[in-house]
Amino acid sequence: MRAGLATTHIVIHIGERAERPDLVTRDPKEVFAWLFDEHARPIRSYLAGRVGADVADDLVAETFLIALRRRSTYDPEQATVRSWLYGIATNLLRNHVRREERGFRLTAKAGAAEPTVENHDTLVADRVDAAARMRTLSAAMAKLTEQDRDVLLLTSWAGLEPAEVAEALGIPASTVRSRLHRLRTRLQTLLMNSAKDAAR
Amino acid sequence: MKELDEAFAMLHRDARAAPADLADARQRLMDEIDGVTPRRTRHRWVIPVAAAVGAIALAATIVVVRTAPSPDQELPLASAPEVLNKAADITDVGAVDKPIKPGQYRYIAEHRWTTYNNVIGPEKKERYPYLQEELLERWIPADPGGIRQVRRTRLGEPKYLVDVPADVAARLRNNQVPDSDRRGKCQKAGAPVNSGDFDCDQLDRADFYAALPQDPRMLYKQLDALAAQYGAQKAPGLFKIGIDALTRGLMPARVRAQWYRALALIPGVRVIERRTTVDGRSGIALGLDDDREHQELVIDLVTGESIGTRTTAGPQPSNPLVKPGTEIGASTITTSVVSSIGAKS
Repeated sequence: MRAGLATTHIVIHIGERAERPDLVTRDPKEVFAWLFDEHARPIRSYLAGRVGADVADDLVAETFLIALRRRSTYDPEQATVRSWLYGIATNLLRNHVRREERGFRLTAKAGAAEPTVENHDTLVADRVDAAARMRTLSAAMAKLTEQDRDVLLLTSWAGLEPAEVAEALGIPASTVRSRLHRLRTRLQTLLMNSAKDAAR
Repeated sequence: MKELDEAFAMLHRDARAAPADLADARQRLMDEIDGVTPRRTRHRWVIPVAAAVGAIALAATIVVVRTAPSPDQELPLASAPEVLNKAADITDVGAVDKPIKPGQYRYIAEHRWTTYNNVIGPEKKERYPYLQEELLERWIPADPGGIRQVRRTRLGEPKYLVDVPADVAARLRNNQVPDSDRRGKCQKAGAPVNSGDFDCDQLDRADFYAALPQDPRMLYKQLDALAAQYGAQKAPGLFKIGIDALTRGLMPARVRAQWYRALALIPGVRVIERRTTVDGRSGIALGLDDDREHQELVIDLVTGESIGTRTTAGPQPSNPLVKPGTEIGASTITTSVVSSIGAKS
C-alpha cells in the first residue's frame, strides 16, 4: 500500500524528470521510495544472475542505502538515475567476483554433465543446441575480466544502452561500443565453433 | 547474433527470475531515511558488544555522538582490522570523488566540538577548559596555489568542563575564542608566511595525498614517520594522525581505501560499538586508548566513509583539570564541490 501511494505521488511531482530526478532538494523519502519501487526488482534480477538470489537481496539493500547516502554526488547532467544505480550495484559486485566466476564455472560444468538427448525432433534438438551454447557461454564468461562481464551483462541482462553502460561504469561510450562489439563477435564465433564441433 | 542473445537469455535464467523478497531491503531504506536504528541483517557473523566496552562512552559527560539504543545491540564485524578492511573494500569499489574543475572549490564543513582553554587572571594562570560547538568551514581551491578561505563560527554556548565560580563567569564570557573568517594562500609549513596566508601542514595539501604509496605496509611506514614528526606516541599517535588525515576532507577515495588498510595494521585498535552521529549517519566506532585520551573514529560500513570522530579524556588527561572520561572533542564532516569561494552549494 505504501509503495503504491509513493509511486503515484512521485509521478505527479517529478513527471518528466523521472529519468534524471533531483536527489538533493527533493524529499528523500518520496524520491527514494519511488526509485526503489521503480528499479529494485530489475536490479535484483541483474544481481541474482551474477551472484545468486540470496546475495542479490542484500546487495539490492546496499545499493539503495549507498545511493541514499551519496545522493549529493548524483549529477543528473552526467547520468540517468538508472545507470547511476546500476553503477553502484555493479561496483558492489567487486566483493563477490570469486563467487560469480564460480557460478559461471559450475553452470558450464553442470550443463556438460547432462546426458545427451537421443531425440531427432527439431524443437528438442534446438533446445539441446541452445543449452550447449549456454554452457559454452558460461565457461567463457568465467574467464572474462570483470569489466568485460560488466559491459556484456549490463547490456544483455539489465537492458542498458551503451551510453548508459558508459555512465554506469564511468568510461567513455565509444569504449563501451567498441568493447561490446569485440566481445560479442568473439563470443558469437565461440558459440558457432562450439556448435560445429558438436555436430561432427 | 541471435544465438548469442538466446544463450544470454537462458544463462542463469532461474536465478534472475526467482521471486524476490525485497520488503526487507525497502524497509531498511525507509528506516535509514527516518533515522531509525538499522535493523539487524540476516547474513553477518555477529558478536555481542561487551558491556565493559561501553563504559568509557557512558562516562562521557556531554552527549555529542549518541549511541544506538538497542539493548541487545550486535555488531556486524568482529574486529577493528575487519571493519577497516571491509571499509577499504567498499571504498575501493564504490567510492568516487566528485571531480573538481579549475576555478571550483572543495567545500569542507566540519561540525565539531573542540576544547579550548579560557585563561584569565593577572598572570594568566587561571585556566578554565571549555567545550565549544562550532562550524569550521574551509574552501580549498582546485588550484593548489589559489586563495583558500577558512571560517570558524561558534554554535551555542560554551560548556565548561570545570566548575566556574559565579564571579568568574562574566570575565570568561568576554574572553572566549572569537569567530573568525580568513582568506589567504596555503604556505608550506616552515616557509615564510605572508600576512594573511595559512601555515599549512602536509595534511592540508592535496600533493601530499597524491604522493602517498599504494601498498598499505608502505603507507603504514609513512604514517609512522608522519606521527614521529608530530611527536606522537606509538600506536595512539598513529591512530590520531590517521584520523586527522581522514577528517581534513582532502583525501581522495583511492588513497582512503589504502589508508584504512594501513590503519588496520595499528595494534590495539578495537571495535567500540555502533554509533549514530548527530547528523543522523550511523556507523561502527573504532577506538584506541592511551593514558591521556581515548580516540574514536566512526565508519559507515555501507559507504566506507569516515563519518565522525570522538575524543574522551583518558585516566591521566593532558589537561589535569578535566576529569577522566569527559568528552573533549567530536566532529562530523561533509564535503562538496562549489563554484565560488564562500559558497555553500
